[in-house]
Amino acid sequence: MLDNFILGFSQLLYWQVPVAIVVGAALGIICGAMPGLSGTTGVALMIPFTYGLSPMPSMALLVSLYTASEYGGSISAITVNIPGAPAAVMSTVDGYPLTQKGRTGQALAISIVSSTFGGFFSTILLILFSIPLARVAIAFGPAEFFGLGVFGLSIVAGLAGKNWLKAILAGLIGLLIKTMGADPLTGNMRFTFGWTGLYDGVAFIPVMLGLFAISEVFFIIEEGVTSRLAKGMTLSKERICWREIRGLWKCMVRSSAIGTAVGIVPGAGAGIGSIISYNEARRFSKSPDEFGKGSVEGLCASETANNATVGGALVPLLTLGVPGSGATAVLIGAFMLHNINPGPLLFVNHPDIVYGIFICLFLANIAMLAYGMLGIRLWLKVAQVSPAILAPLIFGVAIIGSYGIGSSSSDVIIMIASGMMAYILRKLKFPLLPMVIALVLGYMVEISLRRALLVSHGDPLIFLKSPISLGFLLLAVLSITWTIIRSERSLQK
Amino acid sequence: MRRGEIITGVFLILLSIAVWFNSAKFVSGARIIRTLSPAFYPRLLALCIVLCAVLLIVKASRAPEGGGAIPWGQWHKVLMGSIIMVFYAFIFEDLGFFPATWISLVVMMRMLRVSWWNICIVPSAFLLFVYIFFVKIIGLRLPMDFLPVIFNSV
Repeated sequence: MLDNFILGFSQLLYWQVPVAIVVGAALGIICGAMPGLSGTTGVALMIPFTYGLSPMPSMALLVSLYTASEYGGSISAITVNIPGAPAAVMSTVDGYPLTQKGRTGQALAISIVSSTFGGFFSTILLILFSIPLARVAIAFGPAEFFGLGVFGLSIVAGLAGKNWLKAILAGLIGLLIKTMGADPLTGNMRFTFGWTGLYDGVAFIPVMLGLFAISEVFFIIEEGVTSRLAKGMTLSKERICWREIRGLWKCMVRSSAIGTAVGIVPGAGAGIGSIISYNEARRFSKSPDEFGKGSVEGLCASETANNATVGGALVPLLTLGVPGSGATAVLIGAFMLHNINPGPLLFVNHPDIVYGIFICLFLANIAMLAYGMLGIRLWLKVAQVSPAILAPLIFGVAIIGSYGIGSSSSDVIIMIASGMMAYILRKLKFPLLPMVIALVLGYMVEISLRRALLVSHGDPLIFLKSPISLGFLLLAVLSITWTIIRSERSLQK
Repeated sequence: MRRGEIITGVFLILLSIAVWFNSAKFVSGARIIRTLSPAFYPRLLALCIVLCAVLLIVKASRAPEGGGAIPWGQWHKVLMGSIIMVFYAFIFEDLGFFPATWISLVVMMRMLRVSWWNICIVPSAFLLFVYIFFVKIIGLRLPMDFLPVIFNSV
């Protein structure tokens, strides 16, 4: 292994590699922060630029972009309550309330430190255990994916406290919305009502922008708020409390492990990783009631996990040639462009590339940390902009984010309709986060349920015969039951 | 709030019934076993929604009177905002992204009582950024309609 590391280090002697890391990290943060763009989009957009580069600088650029984009989504999530990417959805839950308390700087600092920690942790695991961890990736079939999805959905009940019933209803509505469009197995059109805009289903980004951005615009219009800070709060010259960040180390370690484990599972993605990590952080927290109201642990958990999925997602890619996430699926294209075949023989045929990627991951996290810390003052300015000016700009950015998905006005219409629905639901005190989680997980839950039943010829016991699936389903049942009991008990008091 | 929850529950039950009957059209082909039918999953969800909606109505009915009405606030402003957005969604492809967005941003800012100075600068600066970053650098294709001659010459 040492020889291979030396080989990997030797790749850094080409000046293009460090430059590619620095540029890639900057682009990644921008792609992650802009709603509608994402790490996957950024990687796809950059691939043509790597035609003229040799393999190592190309991989350095793309991997750095991917890493930094997972952090970038938290910037808009914390400052304006709009997640830049699905992985940053959970960061809005506690990140934006921290901004409303006047602690934007602290939230951003927690976010960047947690993201860097998660990135380092998963990279170390990737280096030491990539081949044994690859076996986990192969162990997941449809039944296991269904169990994982249900477990992820089970946290929705706990996200609304006493309104657990409304949280479950919001989640079910989200799952129902996700059924619109072509049926994934048979191609039947479901609930499209003849509108071609729905044939491909309801894309996640327009709905997410509608639920978060457009509904927020409506509230700003209605209330005529002059500040997004809560009453009595000021955005003063806050100092970053490093002691508070150091105290989160247990949360970071736990969330890194969860994020890496979820990232290894092909198709699971950073969104699921941050959801599960958030839930576990609340379970282990000494102050679970603070979650959803500006808990630093909640923000730390989601940010650590979503960056930790990067290293995890590279495990099946490098060892098996199977993408662990959307961005790694696009990365396969980059590999093939440079005549490199990811898979079991990659470590034998191109150890310099593999270990070069490992070193680039470390350096990309350092670059991301530098950008993040330097950029805090810049992002603080965003939090200070008047809502009256910010609301129309949010609308403009949301339009671009929605339209950019498929260059279709249908997505814009869906976004606005989602915003109106979200406004009414918020008025009726329905939590929106369960709906968003359902939209993230809905497709995976349905397709894996139906595939598992197809494999078992309709026998539902397949979900109980698999130990992984059974474990996840039991955890889900316990989680929901415990949440309901605790909520009803507190109501009776 | 109590009345709002009961109305919401009833609405969700009606929605679930509509989903149930609408999904009867989804069964395709005689060889697909029942559990694989495209209607299976939506109907399962509809059933769950009905159960939860009934529970919501029961809970709301048992709740004490009061609890406050739904605070609709200045709903007429929200309605105006919705009309602007819907109008925008239907015209921006024909009018072109930049003119339609500029008009919408100006109208919204005026509704929010932003100063004329900011109204003159902010939308224009924003659209310039969009053009440079998204159109020129990223290559995003935005509807230009009757303005392509002007923009393509830049």
